[in-house]
Amino acid sequence: MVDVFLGLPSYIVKRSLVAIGLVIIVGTLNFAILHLAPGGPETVFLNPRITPAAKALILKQYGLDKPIQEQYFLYLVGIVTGKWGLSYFYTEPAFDVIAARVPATLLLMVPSLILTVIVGILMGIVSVRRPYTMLDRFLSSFAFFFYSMPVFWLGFILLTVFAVFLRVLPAGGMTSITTSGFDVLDYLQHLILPVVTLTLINLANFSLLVRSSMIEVLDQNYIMTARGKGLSERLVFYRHALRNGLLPTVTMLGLFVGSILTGAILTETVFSWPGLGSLTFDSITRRDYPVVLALFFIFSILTIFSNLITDIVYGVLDPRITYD
Amino acid sequence: MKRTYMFAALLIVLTIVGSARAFGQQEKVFVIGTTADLQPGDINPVKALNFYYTAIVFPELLAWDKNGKEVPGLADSWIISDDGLTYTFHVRDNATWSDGQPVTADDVIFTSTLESESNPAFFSYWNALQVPKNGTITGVTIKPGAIVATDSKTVVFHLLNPSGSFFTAAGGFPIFPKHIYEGIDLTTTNLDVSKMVGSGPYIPNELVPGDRYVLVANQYYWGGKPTLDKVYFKIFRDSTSAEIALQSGSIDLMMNVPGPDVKALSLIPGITIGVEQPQIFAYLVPNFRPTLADGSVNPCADLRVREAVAMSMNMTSILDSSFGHGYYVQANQIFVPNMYYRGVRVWNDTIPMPAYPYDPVAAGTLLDQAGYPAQSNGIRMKLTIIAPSAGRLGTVGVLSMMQLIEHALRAVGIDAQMVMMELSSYRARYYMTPPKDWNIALWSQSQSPDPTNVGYNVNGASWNTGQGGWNGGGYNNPFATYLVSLGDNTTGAEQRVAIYQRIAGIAYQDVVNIPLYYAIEVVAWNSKWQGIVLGLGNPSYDYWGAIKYQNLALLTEVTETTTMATSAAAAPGPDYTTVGILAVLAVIVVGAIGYFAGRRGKKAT
Amino acid sequence: MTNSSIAKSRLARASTFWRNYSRNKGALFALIFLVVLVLAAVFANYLFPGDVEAPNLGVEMMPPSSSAILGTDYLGRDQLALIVFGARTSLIVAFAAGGLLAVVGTLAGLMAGYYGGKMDGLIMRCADVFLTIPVLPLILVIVALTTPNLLNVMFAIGLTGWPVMARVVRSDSLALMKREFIEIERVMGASSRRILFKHLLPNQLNSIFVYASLSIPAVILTEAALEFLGLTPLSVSWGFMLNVSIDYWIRGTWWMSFFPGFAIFITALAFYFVSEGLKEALNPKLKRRRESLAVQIAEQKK
Repeated sequence: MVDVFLGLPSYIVKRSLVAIGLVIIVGTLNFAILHLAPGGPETVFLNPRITPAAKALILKQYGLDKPIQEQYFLYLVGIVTGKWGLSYFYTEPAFDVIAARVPATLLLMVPSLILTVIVGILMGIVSVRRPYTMLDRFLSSFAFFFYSMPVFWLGFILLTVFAVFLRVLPAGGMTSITTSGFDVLDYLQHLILPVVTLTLINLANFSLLVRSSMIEVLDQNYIMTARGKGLSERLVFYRHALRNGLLPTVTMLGLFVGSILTGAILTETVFSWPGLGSLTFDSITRRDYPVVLALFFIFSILTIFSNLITDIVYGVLDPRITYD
Repeated sequence: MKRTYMFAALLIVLTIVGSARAFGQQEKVFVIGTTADLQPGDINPVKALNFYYTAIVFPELLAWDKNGKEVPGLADSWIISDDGLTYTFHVRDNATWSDGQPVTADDVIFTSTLESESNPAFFSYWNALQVPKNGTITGVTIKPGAIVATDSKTVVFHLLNPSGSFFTAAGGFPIFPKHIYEGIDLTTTNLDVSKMVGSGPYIPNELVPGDRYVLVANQYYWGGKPTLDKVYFKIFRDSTSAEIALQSGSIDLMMNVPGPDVKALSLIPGITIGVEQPQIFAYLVPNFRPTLADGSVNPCADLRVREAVAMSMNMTSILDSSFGHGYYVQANQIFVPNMYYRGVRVWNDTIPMPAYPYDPVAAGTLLDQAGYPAQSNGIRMKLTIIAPSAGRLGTVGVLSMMQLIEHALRAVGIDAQMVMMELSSYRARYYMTPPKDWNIALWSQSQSPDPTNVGYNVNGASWNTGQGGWNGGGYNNPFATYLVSLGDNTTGAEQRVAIYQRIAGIAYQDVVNIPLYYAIEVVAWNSKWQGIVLGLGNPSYDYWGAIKYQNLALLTEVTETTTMATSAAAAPGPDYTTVGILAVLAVIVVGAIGYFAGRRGKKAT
Repeated sequence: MTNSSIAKSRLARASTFWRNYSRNKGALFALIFLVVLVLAAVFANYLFPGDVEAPNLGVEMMPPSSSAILGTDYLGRDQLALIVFGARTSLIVAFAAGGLLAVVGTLAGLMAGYYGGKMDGLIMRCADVFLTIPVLPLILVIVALTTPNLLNVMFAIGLTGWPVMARVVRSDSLALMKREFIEIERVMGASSRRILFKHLLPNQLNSIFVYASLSIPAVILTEAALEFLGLTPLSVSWGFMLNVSIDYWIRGTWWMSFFPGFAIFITALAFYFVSEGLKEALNPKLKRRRESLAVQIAEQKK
């Protein structure tokens, strides 16, 4: 017990330091990419007869006329203060451009995450309660199926079936065109397909995790001990099953951030969802480097910190982990 | 008990939400679907590269009818002096900004000066009034005293030299409010959309890039109170989603329907198709420089090679396949068919159609003569063709066309390698510092009833052939260059047109570019709307040839007897037998997977 | 040991392997499918003589029929032929990127496990950096910045995928390093090369092979995503066919989107099954743990 108390805080500190180091490395990498990349704001603003004076002004606007070390330093400082440069395409601060799209992506991610966790755990419970029945086999084949499925294809098929052939759901976008204000039903209608797509793909991964750790539940000694104590089997089962379902959920959350951002890029593109994913793709094709790098940075930070939190939570939850 | 409360609360919430929704739909709203993305810079006076979206908010002094003849816009009368050096415009007495201030001559002077000093894209429109000045972005400014306001509504331009393009350029430029924009550094800031003030029928209210642009009616509009309360531009990522939205009724009008899709849309009851006179000219630009960047010889520098390339393509069948018969116009010269200058048609009808006959045998002979005989593998030469994968031409049909062209060139022994890239890298490559690394580039030009910019296709001046110039291929013919500057300075309509027709002839003879097609702009809208007029827009810049702002103010709906419900039946559906078979297969596959995946677990114990 | 008995034992091992492998019927069918696919891709020229990519004006966008089982595309080309030719791109990238990923990952993992200490820390931090940067955006940037050709795509995918392999190899190596026979070798002064390549590596070949084959579905999907987003050169490939099909969607040409996507899906699925089968065949002891490799890899990430 003493071990745990001594080990945990220093573990947290160590992991946090590592995380910060990673952040700096990622930031530097981003900066390097920005300056190695071909083309720049001039490319975007090319129009007939651009004068040298105009070009010089553009460079000045973007701070590209300073020596590179100064730019690097300003960039690092800027990261911390939230000044992530000026978008080439939008001529607005990259931070504002990104902040405007965050709610849309959250609207997609959060329901997806919740659904994945709930359905995944339910599936796991079913598999464990009735192993090797047709239902169990069907559910586990489900995982293989969607693990191999290209996100954009799935989204596209759903879109074709429900929006074009059956016409029951809208064909993309986040809201109907003329709604102003907050029309819940409208949002729901538009949310269904993208959330279903994302959830199905993520469930594939998650359900396997859950299933494995729940199967471990059946083999553990402590269940037998509990049974020996006379507790009802059902209570024992559900309590320990759920608790064991928690561990992979935490792992999942860590992985989820990464996979969500990847899946989001493809899903948002297919469903014309105005979130960070489609912003990433559009900015890359538009060579809007400041926005791309700012997005990268956000994604990396999110991943780093969610890994950190996962590590810490695991450290607390699972006494088997040693602090190295 | 708790459950009942929750349920009641939910019910109440839904009712409120539902009724709010119904209430909101009392407004008269018109929704336009477009695939052209919009961001705040597009409605910034010195950053906008085109005026698709600003034209409704900031009308120009002049407007144009369908014969390319100027008619009153913001200005209701104008006088041009006989020597072509003095232009007087009178702003309408009842022209008022949406905040109640009158539109005055000072606004015109302000706009001219602002653009001359700060907008690298358009400052040349006031060339004839400018003098050099240090410290401005463009390096020039309006000569003091060249533009004068003789009273609050009358403005006089005193040109320093005759200019053929001035009238249409300056007359066709949006006028911005001095009292709003003065003092703001527009190169670094975009004015907040909700603070914008305009003189047109609708004023911007909301702009969400990638999603929507919302305009509300301007009660002070000089044409009378607009019939619509709001106009929405809904931005779609691709034309397919826009078409679906049109069919389902979520949008009322769709701009830029790709040619190949028009047939499908026209079959749907309740949708009206309007065809806009073509204004986009698509062509292949050959590289005229003797060598490429890697030092190899550039075959396209030879006239015979250029002619051979043109003759090896059966453009009619290529275009039929890619765009659908009837949804393009085959091109034969640098001017679009409806190119008019102040009411005089510029089109040179002495140029044959098709410009270069489809004759692969003759093409082969020409290539032999040019010194490119067929090798043992049948290949004569290798050419690199670059093309954009997006932009004005869009992808639907263009990819198909380019692949068919590639195939046609191969048939005469030219190993054509097409490289497609997204727009900004494409422009970087097209405009790269010579020597270039491509032989042919696909390019397009949006034209308007003024031949000035088209003429620059043949102007060989070094600034024009370099980065950002109109003449990316590098064609350099001193006579053509001379003609272009002559055309710049001629004001009489007939004389000017004659010069440009000559230019078109030279471009044809020298194969300055290989004309492909004139795009037809198709607009589709819900038949319940009346009063939609398509026509020529402004001649001086990429214009928005569809609905004119004056008409947008007057649109009315017929009472909704026709619904879109029938459209669902007419939409193309799947072949149900095939789908049925596929569905059965899918079930079998899933079942098999399930069975086998489960089985292995059993063996373990 | 005589030559013939070595040969016999190899044969015996091979047949045991095969017996174990074919117990999993799914993996068996998947393997057959992949073999057929590879053969079809290799001999595509014989199966579909003539220029498959040549346009056929007049029969554009025809639905599936007896003359074109999977329909024709926007240039009138037979989709079945295009899909078989497209398999070449997907398979080449799958094997090449997967191979690159495996080689780099294995080397990194071996070195980390063998040398331990600082080297281990360094390599693992590198791996962490790659793990924290989201994969698809990173690949998108790499591919977008460099000229779009297949080689760059392979590099991009291979170089972003090695950390997972490295982790697995590292932990296996660490475990192996503690074994007695390695201790003996070290005491006897064996060179690093010897230990690494004669002891550590061969003992892990089985799992390396298995993990490598598991990474292939992800490689296939990533590559398809890149093609779908339009970042690879124009060529006959499944993802590109999907990309183009979207523009023609309004006309109800569902076969142009469905079949290429299905091809991607079924190939990825087949590789997945094969890797599962390999796992069971090569590591029979692991059969008792009924979770899959994906789970194990995920747990490695803790």
